[in-house]
Amino acid sequence: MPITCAKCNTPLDAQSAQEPCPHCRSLDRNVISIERGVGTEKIQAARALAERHYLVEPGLTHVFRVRSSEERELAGSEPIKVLEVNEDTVPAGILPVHFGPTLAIGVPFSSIIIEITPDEYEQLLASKLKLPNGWVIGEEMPRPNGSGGE
Amino acid sequence: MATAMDWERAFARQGRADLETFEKMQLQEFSIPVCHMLQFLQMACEKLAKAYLCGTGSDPTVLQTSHAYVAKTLPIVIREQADHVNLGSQKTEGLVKRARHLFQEIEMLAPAVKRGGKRPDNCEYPWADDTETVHVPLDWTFHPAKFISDHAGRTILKLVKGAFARTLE
Repeated sequence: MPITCAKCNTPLDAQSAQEPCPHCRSLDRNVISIERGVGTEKIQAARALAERHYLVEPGLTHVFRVRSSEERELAGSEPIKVLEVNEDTVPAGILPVHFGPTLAIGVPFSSIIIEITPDEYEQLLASKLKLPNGWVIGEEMPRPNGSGGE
Repeated sequence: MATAMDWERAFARQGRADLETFEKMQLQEFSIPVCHMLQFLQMACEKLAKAYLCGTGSDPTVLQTSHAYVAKTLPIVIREQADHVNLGSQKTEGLVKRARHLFQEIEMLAPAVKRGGKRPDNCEYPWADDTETVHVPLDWTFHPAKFISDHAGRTILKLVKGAFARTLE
């Protein structure tokens, strides 16, 4: 996504963005549009991750994004976080597991996977279990066609 | 103050050494009891699970109070590692299913993990069953020993090694 001057919307390349805008001399840049680009990439990567996991995990019933603050989520360094409800896992509470990028399946960001049983999911909804770091359950990731399930 | 990454690497280094010891024991010409070999495999798996949990900032002092992290954490680690090496969907599905079973059994090798008293068998201390018969780990047949000797089991162990390497990159 191109960088633009926040005042006059002039498109700027990476080098000229560090200097005053050639049109209006403003130094303000449209950073939000770049961050939104990261947000969109993360949504796509989270979907790729969920699709992949639905494909290889017959016991997977739901996959949700897990979100921290909006500001953190827009940072490229913030991992994609997903909550997976899996009938085949064992009950052991909330144990987030961290991974680096997995380019082979289209996930260029680091990720955090939290896997829970359907019963633990009910406990989470009833606030008997809690996600760490102020994280909240976000949107559900769609199940790809043909991956079985409910 | 030690960072999450310091702890992650520390668990991974020690766990990888446990795994290498397990492998060396398998290659010995003189006979080493299966329970002793499996103890190193159990310790390696536990430290791998804890390394990955430390990566998210889990408190290492809390992690050190339990052995019950293997069955939940390592199947996810194996799944991600299979994707990392581009193993393919069909193989990954079969391996993850197998890994869930294998790691539940490996977790129970630790004497502190008893699944509500239903599984007192472990690879370290003698135990008594419901009929008060005392069993010794030296004489016991452990399921993981059988599971890791076939093709799928060996592939899972390769992925475990890869997962250690990935945390230490």
